[in-house]
Formats: sequence, C-alpha cells, structure tokens
Amino acid sequence: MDLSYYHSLLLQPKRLDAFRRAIHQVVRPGDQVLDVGTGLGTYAMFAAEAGAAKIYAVDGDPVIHVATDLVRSNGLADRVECRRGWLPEVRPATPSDVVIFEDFVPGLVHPRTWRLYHELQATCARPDARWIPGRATLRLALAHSRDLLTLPAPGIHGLRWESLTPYLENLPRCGGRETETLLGEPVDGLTVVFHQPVADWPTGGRATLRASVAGSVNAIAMWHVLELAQGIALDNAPGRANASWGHMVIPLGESLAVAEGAAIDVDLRWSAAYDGQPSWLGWSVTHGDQTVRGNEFAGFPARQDDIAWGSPEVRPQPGPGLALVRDVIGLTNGSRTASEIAAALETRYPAYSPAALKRRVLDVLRAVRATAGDT
Amino acid sequence: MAAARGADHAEAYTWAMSHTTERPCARPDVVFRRLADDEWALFDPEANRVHALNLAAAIVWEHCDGSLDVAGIAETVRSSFTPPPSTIDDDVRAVLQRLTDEGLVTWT
Repeated sequence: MDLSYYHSLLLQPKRLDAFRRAIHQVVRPGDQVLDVGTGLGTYAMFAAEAGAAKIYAVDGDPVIHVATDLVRSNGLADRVECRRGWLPEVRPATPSDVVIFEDFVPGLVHPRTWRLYHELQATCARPDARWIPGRATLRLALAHSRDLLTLPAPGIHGLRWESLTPYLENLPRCGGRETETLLGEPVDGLTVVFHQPVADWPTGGRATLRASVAGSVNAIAMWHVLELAQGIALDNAPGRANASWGHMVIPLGESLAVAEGAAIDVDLRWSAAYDGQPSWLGWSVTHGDQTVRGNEFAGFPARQDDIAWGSPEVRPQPGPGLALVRDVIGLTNGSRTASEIAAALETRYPAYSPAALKRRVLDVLRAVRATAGDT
Repeated sequence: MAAARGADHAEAYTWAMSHTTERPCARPDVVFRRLADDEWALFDPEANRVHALNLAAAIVWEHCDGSLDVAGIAETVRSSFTPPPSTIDDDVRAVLQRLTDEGLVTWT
C-alpha cells in the first residue's frame, strides 16, 4: 500500500480520536496487546500510552518499517515490537489480552475477515481477550443510487452489450460519497460480536425497511457501525463526514417504485464455504408481490474450471503459469540469486526472453512473499 | 450434470412414472447462469454447490417454472435439437431426477 494511504488515515481525527478513547477504556496496565494491520503503528502507540506492558504491532506491508521509526522516535521501542509478516507466522509466542483490528470491508462480512478472526481466536488471543472493536453491526437502507453500473446505450460503438446485464445486476460495489440518496431510515441487518467464535457469526440477516418518502428504489445501501468500546462507535452511513470505511450498494436490477411508508423486506445471505467461511452474497428484496433476487455468483466472470479451482476437492493441473511458480520456488534455497534462478530456467521456458524471465521470477518471489497470510 | 445413460434408464423411468402429472418448479434462490458458449451452471447458495449443466440440462432447468410436466419439458427440449437425439426422454427424466435429488426443484 502506498504511504499516502496511511498518511490519509492521520487526516481522519474522528476515527483516530475514537480509537484512542476506546483503547484507553479497554487496555489495562500490564496487558499484552496485538495490533493487527498496524500501518503506522498509531494504535499500538495508543496502547502503550494506555499502559500496556507489551504491544505487538504486525503488518505485512513495508509500512511496518515506518512504524518502527515512529515507535522509536516516540520512545516506545521498549514496549512496542513491530513485526513484518502475516498471521499466523508472526504471531506472538503467548496469546494477547487485547486485539485491535480495523481493516474491515464496507460490507463487513468477508472471507478474509472471517479467516483472520478464525486464526486470531485460535492462536493469538486469550479466551477472555478483549477486542477493539468489540462488535460491528451491518446497517441497511433503501437507496436511490446515481452511480449504478448500467448497460452502454444500445448499439453504441456498433456492438451489442446486453450480455453484460447479468454481471452488472449482480455486482455489489462501493458507493460514492455523494451518489446515494437514502429513502428511509437505516435498520440493523446483522451484528458480529468479535469475541464469539467465528462459527457462530451470522451468515445472513433480514430486515424490513420502510420508505420515509416516495421514490424509486434501485439499490440497498449497506455499511457497518463499529462499536469500538462502551459508548464509542463509528458510523459509516453514506454522506456522513469521516465515514472512513465507506458503504456498499447492492443493485436491484429493476427499480421499485415505493410509496411513503411502504415496507420492503430484505434478506441477505452469504453461502458458507467448505470450512464455514462466507462466500457468495445472495439477496432477495420483496416489495408487495414483487421480488428481486441477486447473487454475486451470477456477476462473477468465470468458466467451470475457474469455479472448480475454488474447491478443496479439485485435483488441480499445473498450467504453464503454475509450473513456472513451482520451478522458481523449487530453486529458491538461499544460495541462488534471482538472476541465477532465471538463468537456470531459460531452456525450460524458451517463450520468455532472458530479461522477461528475470522479471517474471522477481514477480513470483514478490507475490509469494506478499500473499502468505491473512492480514 | 450430464444426462444418465444405460444402467440408469430403468431407475429413471421408474422415477418418472411417479411424476407423470406433476410439474417441476425451480427453487427461486438457485442461480442459473451461462458460463460460456457450451457451459451452464447452477449455484445452490444453501449448499454452496455448483452444478455444471450441458445444453439439454440447461433447457430443462429453464422450463422448470411450474407450467410444464415432464412430457411437456421433453417436448420442448426435443424441439431445440435438429435432429433430436433419440435419448431425449431418458435424458430429461434423468436430469429432473438429479435436480430433484439435489433439492433444486420442487413438484407442484
């Protein structure tokens, strides 16, 4: 991640102030704290300020080197230990009393989040650990979006575009700051309590939304409210200042004309993958006798073999790309340079020029280093 | 979900005899989509399972709307092929049996 992203977080005083107050409320003197995805180490340093005896600040991004500098220059290096890497490999030797994490997707429920918490609960946190945030609620609201993906005009560029329709109508996406008008009060869709085992987390939610004005509903807006600690919450409602995590819009495909006071039933359901982690999001939106359904699966460009690769039952065949990765890793033993690895593979991969093969080897090594975990 | 052949014939026929007047109806939450020119798939969000369909099975699925019985669907599939394969009736029965066994269709 570019450093400008982490710098931009410093320009969100409401977010930082809320986390600082929450950390001071939750962290007790002598605690061991784990700050997952620490970025610049800000929350780790807040935890030190709150009296934690030991703080592990973990990030897989090179930004951790900047965090290390900041920790040192703030005189906290004796208590804050910055570790570059991914969980669970870089987890502390002992489970922590407090876990801090904030890198949620706007829609809250996500396989990456599920996997991370699964690992945190199993190996990084004490059974009675305190979590910041402690819980998060996904809120839903009727919306009219001016930014839904729509088909190009018929015949534009001399081509037919209708085949795009199922993709566009089944693709939840991040909303813009000024592009959604809410047509009713938000309602809680589901709540995740982070100290509860991930197996007990909700995999869907239902809500009845009421239109506060007559209008054309073409999307359901959803966002999360993070409850950092008792009485400290961050709400990401569309258009709200400091809604740092943003919101999502679920397209309805066809607009629903609703009268003031009309009730619309929304049912969200994530399919559970082989190990319980959430996968495809499906939705059903009912207004009177009209029901609009959608599912991310229908908006995912794929053929059967692409889908099969997501299954633990498949017996994958190494194609050319995978074979190269395998060969690069097979030659990676600490004694060869990347150039030597590329040179050793030149006769096996004649389609690559020597320079292109060297770049590819470096790409493989970077990719493997950067994707070995869940944070 | 390729059509059953040979040894499955008797079982499929027996099964079909118990569904002569009923009409199959697709579960509304099951996602049907075309993946490529010759690939279709059903996604069952409850079971998180994907079922690959051939052309005949895809046509069967598209007509599981509660308006046609087995014979009506077989006739529709038959009219989609030129010339129609001789195994159409068996294929349709086998597909419907599989869809039923997987809980993807109900009967009305």
